[in-house]
Amino acid sequence: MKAIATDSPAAGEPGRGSPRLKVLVVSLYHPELIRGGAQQVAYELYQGLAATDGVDATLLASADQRWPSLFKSGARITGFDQRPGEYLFLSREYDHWWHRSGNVELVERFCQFLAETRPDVVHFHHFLTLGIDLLSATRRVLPEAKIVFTFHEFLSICNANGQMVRTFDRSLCTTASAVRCHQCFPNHSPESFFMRENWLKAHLGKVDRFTVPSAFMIDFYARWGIPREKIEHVTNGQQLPAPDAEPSVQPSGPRKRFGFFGQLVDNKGVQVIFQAVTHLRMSGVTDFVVEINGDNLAYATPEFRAAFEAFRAAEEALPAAERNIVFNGAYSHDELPRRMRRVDWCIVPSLWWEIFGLVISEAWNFGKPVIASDVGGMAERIGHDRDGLLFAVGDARALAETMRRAVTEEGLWAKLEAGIRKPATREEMTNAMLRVYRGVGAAEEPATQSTGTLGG
Amino acid sequence: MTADDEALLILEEVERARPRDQKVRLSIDLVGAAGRNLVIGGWIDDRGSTIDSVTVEARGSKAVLSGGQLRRTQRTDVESELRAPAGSRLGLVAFTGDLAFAMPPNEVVRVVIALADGRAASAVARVRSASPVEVRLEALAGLLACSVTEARRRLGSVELVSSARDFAALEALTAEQPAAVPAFADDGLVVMDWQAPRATSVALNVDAVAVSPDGGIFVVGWIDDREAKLTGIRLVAPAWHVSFAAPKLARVRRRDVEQALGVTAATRFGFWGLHFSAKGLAVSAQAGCTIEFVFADGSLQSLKLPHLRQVEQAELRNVVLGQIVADEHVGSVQVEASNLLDGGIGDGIVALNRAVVNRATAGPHVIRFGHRTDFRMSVVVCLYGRAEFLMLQAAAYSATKMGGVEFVYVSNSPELAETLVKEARIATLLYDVPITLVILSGNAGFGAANNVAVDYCRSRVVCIMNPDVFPRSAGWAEALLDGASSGAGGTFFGTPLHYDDGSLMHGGMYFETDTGISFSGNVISERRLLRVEHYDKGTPAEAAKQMVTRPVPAVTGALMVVRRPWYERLAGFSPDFVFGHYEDADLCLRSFAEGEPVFLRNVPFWHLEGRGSTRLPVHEGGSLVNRWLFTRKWLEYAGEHGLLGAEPRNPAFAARKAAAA
Repeated sequence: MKAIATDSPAAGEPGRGSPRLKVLVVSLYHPELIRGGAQQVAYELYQGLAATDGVDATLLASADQRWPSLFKSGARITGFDQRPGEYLFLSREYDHWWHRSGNVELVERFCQFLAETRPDVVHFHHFLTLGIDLLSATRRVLPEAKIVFTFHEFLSICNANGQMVRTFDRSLCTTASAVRCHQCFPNHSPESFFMRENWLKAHLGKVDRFTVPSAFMIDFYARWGIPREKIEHVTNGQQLPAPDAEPSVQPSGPRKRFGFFGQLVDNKGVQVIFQAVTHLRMSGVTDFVVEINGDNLAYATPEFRAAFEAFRAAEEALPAAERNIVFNGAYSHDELPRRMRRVDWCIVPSLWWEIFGLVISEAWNFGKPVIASDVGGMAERIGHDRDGLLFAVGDARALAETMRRAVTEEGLWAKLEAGIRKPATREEMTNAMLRVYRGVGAAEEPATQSTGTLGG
Repeated sequence: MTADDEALLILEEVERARPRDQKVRLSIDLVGAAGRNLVIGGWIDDRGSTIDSVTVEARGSKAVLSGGQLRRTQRTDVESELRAPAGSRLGLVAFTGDLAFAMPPNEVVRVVIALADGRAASAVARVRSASPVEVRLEALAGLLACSVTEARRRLGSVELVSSARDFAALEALTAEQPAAVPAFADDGLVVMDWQAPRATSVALNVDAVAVSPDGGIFVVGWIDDREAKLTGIRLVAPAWHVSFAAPKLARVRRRDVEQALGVTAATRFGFWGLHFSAKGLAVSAQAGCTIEFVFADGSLQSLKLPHLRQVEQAELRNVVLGQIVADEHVGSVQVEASNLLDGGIGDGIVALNRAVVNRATAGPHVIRFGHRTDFRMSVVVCLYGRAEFLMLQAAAYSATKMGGVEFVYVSNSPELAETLVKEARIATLLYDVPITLVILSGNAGFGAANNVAVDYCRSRVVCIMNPDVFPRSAGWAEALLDGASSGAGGTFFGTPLHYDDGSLMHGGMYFETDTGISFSGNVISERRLLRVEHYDKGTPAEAAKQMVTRPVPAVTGALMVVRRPWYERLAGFSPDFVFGHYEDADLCLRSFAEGEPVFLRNVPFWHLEGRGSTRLPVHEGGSLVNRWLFTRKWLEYAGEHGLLGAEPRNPAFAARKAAAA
């Protein structure tokens, strides 16, 4: 393992003595410009590092043409809103097949930025919009630096937005291969996928240490060819708002209010809830409510959009007393506590692996047990009948049965609520990452989540 | 000659010391050349003496013109300038069709005129490149003291002038005024007299005539000559005419004509022809041309085509190649195509292609990236149509041990130039790979492009590699260098190449023959053609015989390692093959014929065959031509030397049998 190079021989002990550890966090997007889980976590880490004694943290977050005015003429990297330590990487000429920028000046500027800041650790969160080949650039410019890479999903392995859901039947995929990927993308030959894999691996080979937010991912990446011993599980941590002291609207009694929080796109599985509600009604269970929070319907497939709109129209055509589903629309981060307060349960019915599920952390932060699909990050984090309930992924009848149990089984909610552990904090994640930087290993962190892995 | 030309050509006037210190005034107005044809125009004030010789010095070569190659002419303008008496004949024209060397175009040359009294004077001028006909017309214009247009008119037949090698021949041409209708030029084609127009017309049409001003005429159409047998056609344009005897025309099936004429049997109503000569053709697209069809009964039918399609040479070649692919035959496509190529079209395509290649490879744009200059091996990669392989290879190879290896990328796609420069710059930033970019101005084809690239290699070992070849082992470079330094089979060798699925794509090549059937001229005939086969394609890559170093009849151009002196002794790939295909086998056979059979050495690579470039229908046409050419060159030789089959009889391959056993 490569040692961290710092200014003095006594380096590598962050927070102790004078040698300071310089960490550059390179992030897909700045979360204040474009929201998303990966950038949120990267920013939490940056803030955590910045608050740590003995660590000098710098953030380089990408921006794209959604904010064209930020692209100052002739600039490739700029500051961000007068914040010390935060920089924007102005992504351009990005090739979504090879995942790299064809802009020479942008790559040149990145190299200069590294040479100027000379970090001891360069921690990439994702390569999208940045370019996978920046890993090789980093190794070339800073031969002694430690390069850490956090996988936030499976984009290296899977061209289907890194979700490992097969494009033709939406079944869950566990293994990529040139022919299997060609089946998902018939316009790309098996050879293209062979080249894609080799290209990505040529650059990922420059990384010293990988981290994944959920342990089940280790199997996927090891199977794909990343040496297992180079991958560590470091759970995502967040600084979440303290649950307010205000009592819930419904402090006691039956727990009949379910909530969905997330994007209204195919893989998030809201349609499974709709089908489950239909089953419940047909079996005479009608005393419950499901609140749908979220938007981004525009990013869903046309089929999903049409089905969603049809269901909503039918639901809203019912007399108010017969409606079971409430559509609350989009919400901002600040609104989350109020929306959470309105529900007893949080449903995460994702139809893909759901790498981590920040929404699970949010639900737990507010003391809401989670009902979720029994795969991936959801299955890893949620203990069935301990702090939540799992149902077979995509199975609306199983979800209906689980919801029936949730509203009828006495004492269940209280038992599960009592089983909830607080999700990892920003500080805990930061400390775990610092141990990765120092080569000690994150696993000593007592706050990391259970690491029961799920085979593929 | 225009005023601009004159201004350009009078570059310098030089005086030389001479006895009695008397200066000789002269001016060289024109130096025009086409290969070994040269014309010089100007004047010299040699009053009191005479010209002994005119010497042209170009790039270390020297040509001396004297006697019958020189003519003095009257130049009234000079007489008045020098206040010389009328009739002084101070003008000078020098002409030869037999230069000892080919005059380089656009070169600056020195013209030295030596006088009989020992004086000499010289001037410097730039050579204007022209066609042989233009050179002669300029000489004639100088001789007759008239304009080129007038000289052309006085000459009657422009085609005839090509054969004139000196002034005497030129003068003879102008002395006997040609008949109103000139005899046809005989470019080895056909000479015919004028015939009477046909009484009954034959159904026929000319679909198109495409002409390249640099030389090359393509004609395509159809004719119902079932009853009146066609003996030839000729194309008559204002400045030239070309004849095609019937055997030189391709005859192909035309279903549309069959349908229109109500003919149910497959019939070769279609025809097309290609005439290529390096002579320039004055082409005016507006002028059009007349196409005359001459029949066996002596009758003639003509058709006026108002417009000629004017095309670049490369486009003309592609049109012809596309035609070969589009042709519909009655028998085997390759055999019928070979038969029609035999008739002269094949040689025409090869010559036309050579002209295209020469143009594409002239003056490549070369950019070096990186600072090192001494290398142990040069990997030469020819890119066509896709640029991203540069970055893919740079990323893949930089992850291996490759000290002392440089990459020379040669591009056959001018439109990729800018992208490639960017890619090379990024690669230089990201990886420690020394890259040289050689950008050609057109598609020179695989072989010629590699030949150019090898000129820019800075090592003694050349590794020709396809863009879609990737390393399978980190120590590939050392392994190839070890091979190149070994005694047996180190001069020229290939390696096993594997598909992305892990099976064998290439483990050496051998030659088979196919026999196809032709129905040419209602006669059924057989024709043998050479075919190149890969050993054991698709078998497990670990098959034992691939692991043994052994001689093979040929290896693929996708990866071949050649010691540079040997590559240069073989003069590299033959530029006769169009685009790609068969030039690799041709190089291997030439190496064999020169005494070095090629070997296969076990240094495995990935090869994503065919993914490294784009393939178009004209490439299929090129393959048909190449296979015809390859067969013509090697069928007999391969048979005689026991090179046919997967187990060739030639003793050079005894080792292969031993290894297999």
